Amino acid sequence: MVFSATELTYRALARSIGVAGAHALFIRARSQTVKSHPLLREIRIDNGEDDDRAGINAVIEKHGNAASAAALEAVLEALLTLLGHFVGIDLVVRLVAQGATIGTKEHEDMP
Amino acid sequence: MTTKKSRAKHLIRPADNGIPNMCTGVPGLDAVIGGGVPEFSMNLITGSPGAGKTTLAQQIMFANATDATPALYFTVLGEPTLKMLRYQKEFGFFDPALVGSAVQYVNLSNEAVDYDWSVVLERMIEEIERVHPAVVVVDSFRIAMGGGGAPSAPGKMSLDAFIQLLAVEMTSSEITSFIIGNSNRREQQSPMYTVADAVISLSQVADRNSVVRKLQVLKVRGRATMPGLHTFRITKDGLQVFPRIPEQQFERRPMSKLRLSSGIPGLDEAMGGGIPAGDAVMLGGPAGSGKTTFATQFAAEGLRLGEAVVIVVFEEYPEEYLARAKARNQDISAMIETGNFRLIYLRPLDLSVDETLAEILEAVSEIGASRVVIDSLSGFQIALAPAFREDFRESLYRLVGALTATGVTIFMTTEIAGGYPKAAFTTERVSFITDDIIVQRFVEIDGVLKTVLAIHKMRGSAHSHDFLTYEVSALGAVVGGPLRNYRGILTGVPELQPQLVREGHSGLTERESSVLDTLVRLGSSSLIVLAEHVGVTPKELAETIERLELLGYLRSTGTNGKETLHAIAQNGS
Repeated sequence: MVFSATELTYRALARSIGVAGAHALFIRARSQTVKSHPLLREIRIDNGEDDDRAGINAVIEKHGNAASAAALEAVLEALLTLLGHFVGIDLVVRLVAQGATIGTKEHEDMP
Repeated sequence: MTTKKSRAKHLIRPADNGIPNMCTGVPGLDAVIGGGVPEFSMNLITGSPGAGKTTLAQQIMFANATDATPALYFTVLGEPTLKMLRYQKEFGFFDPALVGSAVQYVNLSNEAVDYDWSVVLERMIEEIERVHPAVVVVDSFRIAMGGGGAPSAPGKMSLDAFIQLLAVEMTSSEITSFIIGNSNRREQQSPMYTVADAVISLSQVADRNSVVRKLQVLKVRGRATMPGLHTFRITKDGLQVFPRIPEQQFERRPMSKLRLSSGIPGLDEAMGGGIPAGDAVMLGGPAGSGKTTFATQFAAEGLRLGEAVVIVVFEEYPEEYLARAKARNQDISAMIETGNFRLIYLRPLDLSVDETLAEILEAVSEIGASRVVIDSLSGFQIALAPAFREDFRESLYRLVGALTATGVTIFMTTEIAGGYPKAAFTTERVSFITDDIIVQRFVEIDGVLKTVLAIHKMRGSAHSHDFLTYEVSALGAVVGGPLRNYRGILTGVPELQPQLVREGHSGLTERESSVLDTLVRLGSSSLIVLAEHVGVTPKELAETIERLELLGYLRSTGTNGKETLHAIAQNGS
């Protein structure tokens, strides 16, 4: 669940604020949380479209589901807080929801 | 192409030529464009950086976006979306509740980075087919043109082809689109200017310490637009355009026989029974002569009679203005609660006449005002941006014309500068704009400073030609009797004329005395000139002249209708 949410958030933000903007925000969010979740160093920040889903599969295998989910959840929280500083949390929710819906549909369309 | 959703836009209205207009939601802009932008048109919003292009596009988008008619906002390589959202959300028109559903932001920077326009177009079409928008904004065109580099990558879709295909896509998808661009010379040669159905140009000019923003509609297909440069302001609510109303739109209202009471004892009599309704009155005088007292009294009288009144002040804060009025026995502040009174305070130093006019007209319309006080023109001139001060007369002409066209009676004050004896007795620069001119001044009589006024001009109306004394006290202003038997009043230091000292005209009516006094002042005069000074027709005056001649107060020389009338003083000289 958390893994999908992270991917969808990345794609949603890439659509509305651009790939470069989404990438920069995720990098910043990761740097804020990596101290408490060192395993985040092993995750790449990209669109996760490769087979390895940005290294997430390998991280889960190595550190376990719970630790990986907790780390990604922390990244997401930091990311939304960061965005909230810029445009307000109400707008963040809407921006993410806008793209996430589309992302979900795309996932549904996938074979 | 997927079938479009049903359109239920509340801001679409039919136009005379059959193509419905899309209202912009920007106050004043629809009037300039000719009713709104044509539905399904491609519109170019152009201007220098910081002119307000993005804000204008966002304002139009939020005004029109609904769940049934959503809007897509494409950002290309210009201002980062996050920054743009950060600042735009501060405007009153920005509704966060619409974001994500009725308003969707799509960033195309990744697609545009290689200047391969086919990739950009493909992504745009993909999003358009996904969202089915009624409104699309592309921000911005300068970047889309590759302003700093090549217009398109070698071997890829050309920019011209991109623009053509984009226009076709937008129109065939029944989209009203807004393309944001810059206005440098190179981009004006772009095919976008040809393809666009409408071009709206924004500019801002810094002049000394003020910034004036102006909007011009360069082109709208099938619409009669309002020509010229129109000022606009960006406030927390977004853009507001102040249409420059062409002079020919003013239709002089028919002459009214109704007279308004000025509320100043003695003045109505001097003005032939009051101020003609619908006139523009200008009261000029030096500092401290009581101009504001007169103006406030005029307003207070209207309120007392149940009329609605608008007062526009430039030199004092409203609280101070009302407190001073109260101190002069004119407590008008309580009237604000009744809704019959609006006090407008305008003091910024970058005002435009059109902005001022819009504010006054709005207030007049809202409360149904019949009296407007502008206190003062001198303060108004200073409050204008330097660029507008240069054509103050022309601007004031439009302002007065637009206001009097609504039927209101305007009472304006203006300061007359200059020391004795060179002080101008009328503000010649703006006097032609007004119907009635009253001028105040100080005079020294027997070592005492006194105040007098004269009615210089009343269009089509009889009025006193005397210098009338007046006093301003804690009870307000009161106009007294004429200051007679003095000469050189204009110098400020009049001298008594001993030969004219007399106790009165024995056996004459007040009217006959007044005619005789006028002739004495003129020395000698034709019947026509005398009648003009008295404010009656020569025919009306003839009987009075005949009686004065009979009683030996005047004699007539000349014949055949070229008679000259001479006053005969009581001592027979």
